[in-house]
Amino acid sequence: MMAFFQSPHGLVFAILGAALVTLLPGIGSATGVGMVGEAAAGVTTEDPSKFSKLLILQLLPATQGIYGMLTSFLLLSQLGIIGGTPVEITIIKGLAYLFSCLPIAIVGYFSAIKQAKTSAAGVSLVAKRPDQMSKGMIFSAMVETYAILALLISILGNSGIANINF
Amino acid sequence: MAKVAMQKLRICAMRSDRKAILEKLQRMEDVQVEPVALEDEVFSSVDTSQQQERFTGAIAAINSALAILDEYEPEKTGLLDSYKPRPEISREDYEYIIESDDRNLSRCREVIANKRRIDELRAEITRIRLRIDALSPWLDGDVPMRFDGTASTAMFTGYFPENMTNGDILEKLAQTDPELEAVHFDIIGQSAEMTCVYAFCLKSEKERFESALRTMGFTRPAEISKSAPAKCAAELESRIEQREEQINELEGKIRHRALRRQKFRYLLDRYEMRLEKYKAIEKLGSSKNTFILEGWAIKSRYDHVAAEIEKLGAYCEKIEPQKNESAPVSLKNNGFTEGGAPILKMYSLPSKSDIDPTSVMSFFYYLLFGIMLGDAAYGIIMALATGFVMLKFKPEAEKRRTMKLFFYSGISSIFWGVLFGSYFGDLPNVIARTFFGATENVVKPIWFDPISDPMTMLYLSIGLGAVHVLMGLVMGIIASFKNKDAAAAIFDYLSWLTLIISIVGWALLSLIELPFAVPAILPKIFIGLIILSVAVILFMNGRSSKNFIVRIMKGAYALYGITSYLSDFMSYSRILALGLATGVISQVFNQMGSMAGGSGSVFGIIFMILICLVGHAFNIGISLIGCYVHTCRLQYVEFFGKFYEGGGEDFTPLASNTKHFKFKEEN
Repeated sequence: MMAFFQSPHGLVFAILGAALVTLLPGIGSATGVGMVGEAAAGVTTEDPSKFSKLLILQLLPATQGIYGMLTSFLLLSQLGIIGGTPVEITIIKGLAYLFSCLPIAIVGYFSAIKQAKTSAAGVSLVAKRPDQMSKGMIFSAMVETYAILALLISILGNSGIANINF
Repeated sequence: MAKVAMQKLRICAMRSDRKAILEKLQRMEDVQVEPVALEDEVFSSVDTSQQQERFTGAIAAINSALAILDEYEPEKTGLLDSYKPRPEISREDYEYIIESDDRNLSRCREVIANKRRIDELRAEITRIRLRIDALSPWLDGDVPMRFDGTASTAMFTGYFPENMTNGDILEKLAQTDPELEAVHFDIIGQSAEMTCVYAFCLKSEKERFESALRTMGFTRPAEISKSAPAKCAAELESRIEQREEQINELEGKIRHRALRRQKFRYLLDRYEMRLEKYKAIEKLGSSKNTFILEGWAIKSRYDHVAAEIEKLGAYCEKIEPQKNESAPVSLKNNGFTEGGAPILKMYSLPSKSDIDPTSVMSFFYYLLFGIMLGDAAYGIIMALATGFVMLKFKPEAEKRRTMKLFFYSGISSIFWGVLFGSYFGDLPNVIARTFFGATENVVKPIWFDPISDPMTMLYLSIGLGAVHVLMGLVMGIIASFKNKDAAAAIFDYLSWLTLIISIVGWALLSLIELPFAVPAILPKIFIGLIILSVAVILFMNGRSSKNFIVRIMKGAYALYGITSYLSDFMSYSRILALGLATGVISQVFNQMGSMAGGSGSVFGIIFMILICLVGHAFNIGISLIGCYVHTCRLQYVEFFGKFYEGGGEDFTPLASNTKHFKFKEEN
């Protein structure tokens, strides 16, 4: 059993991790940006001058996708898949990478959608009280904090795992 | 960095001077008119809703006329034109424009009427086209469709709802009424689902023939021409042409009016000004021959206002505001710090008890924005673009401040970008590697590279965050002393300041081995300070409660607030996240570019340049929005949360809040 875990094919799990952090937050952000966009388009039909304000609100839930991509890119370059020669790692190390990717993968997905709902509410706030836009923005940015915390742990985890010899 | 002192004033004057005085005030933009509270048998407020309605109506008319002109004769506008200041109008021009008011307003109404006529004509053209369409199967007919026969024959015009030949029709008729023989059908036009015919019979058999036809499904057409169908269609076509000519003529008239666009804009501004003025009149206390105006002016401007108003035969005096009344807020900041003003205004202006946080906030805004963006090249682009707009267009106050915000944030990005060695991400290194075969990085960070060393970046972010949050507490101390509330300064702010500093100090001393020796007494001092601060918070935070138990409970609850400091500090880790996002996205594009350019062919290099241009433009856009939002959040939640109340009302003097021109008096 131990021999299996120490066999040098761990790259596949690390790549699964990289794929998940791109996939889930990406799907979340795409869903979220879409949701806010629908609400914003409705308001724009009434008052096209609010476009730039609404665009900011729409882009708020886009960051989770970027965080996922960021984690994935850092991991792939750390593994030598981008811009280098792929490293050989044990299965157990590969699994460690996979686990370390989970926080941003999962929190990224859910927080993007929750943030989008807050942003969409911000859109109706802007529709009625355009001067209060900053508050709508802040409500939405509050949700993002947790994606940032998850991102932090995933990135720090990944860079820490590189130094461990399993 | 300060709130400007305000002075409440009262102006008394003759009603006959009202127009002159209000217009003067409007051009000076120095006095905010407040509703006069007194209401008795002498003074009352004047209802100006009728005039206001008239002006709103005129404004709506001019706006729609301008919209129509834009539709028919679009104006060429540059992307940055909205940053240009409004042109100024001299006193003489102003008088001249007033004279031509009515003429221009009726010209606007004429534009609207012409547009309405065009719409009507277009609708008519559509209706005529429908008639022509209805006639189209009948075009081969050579007699008018309403023709009903000669002396001895009768004629019917109509169609069968299926495709039939002459034989089919005759056969069907023979089945329906075998005795009808003297008939004739002319097939005029045919399609898959209809056959248009002229049907003839003897006049004596007219009724019988008609009922037979009806049984066969013969239907009269909806459109029946008076003349031969082809002639009728041609006549209808000529009617369309006539209408199109009319439309052209009307459009020409509208286009001609586009020359007056500027005049219409003057007029629009004039009506906006008059509307403002009449809104102000409602706030005055008016008697039969006199009126009273109360309002606020900036204290240092009071003498000037009084002198100017007294020239117009009015009496002006300083008055004391009522007890629960708070002065409107006007902020004065110098060139460097005014950039933060729009950010503060978006949140809320300082209330009576707040100090103006703009200068400290602006400094941290530039600083934090710079680290988040953290790229020298992006910073240069920002600074150049905003600097260009400021120099070239000299935008008015509000827009100038926004430009300044991004200008100084850009400068700060250049600074941090150089420290982090980031110029379009790692573009210089990628180019050196791809084209010149460099094996080592040609551009090295002066301090460290956040992407390869995220832990240092995290410490930096949280460290700066701690400074920012503690600065919030310092602002709280300053504000409390300004409000002569020393107790709040010491118990609510200073105690927390010493608590946080001593906890952090103690933790650093005991957890990290410092490269230099510290006196052994220092950790003990920190522990002493921690105990002292905790005691102060525990016993003094609930000082408003008389009951000792309640007071301690309140203090304990306040101490629990220490967790919020922890989350405040962690919140600054977003600086790391956004900094990495900007850096990594640029790396991704550079990497893609180098894959294309690595082939060494000219095509590959062009492709690389394209990828980099598009990619970095995208990255600047998305990163700017992210940095803007998150720097705002750090100011609003973490910084303002410590000391700032907000809720002040903006100083809005009676002014010409016009869209297109400036009617301000130089003074």
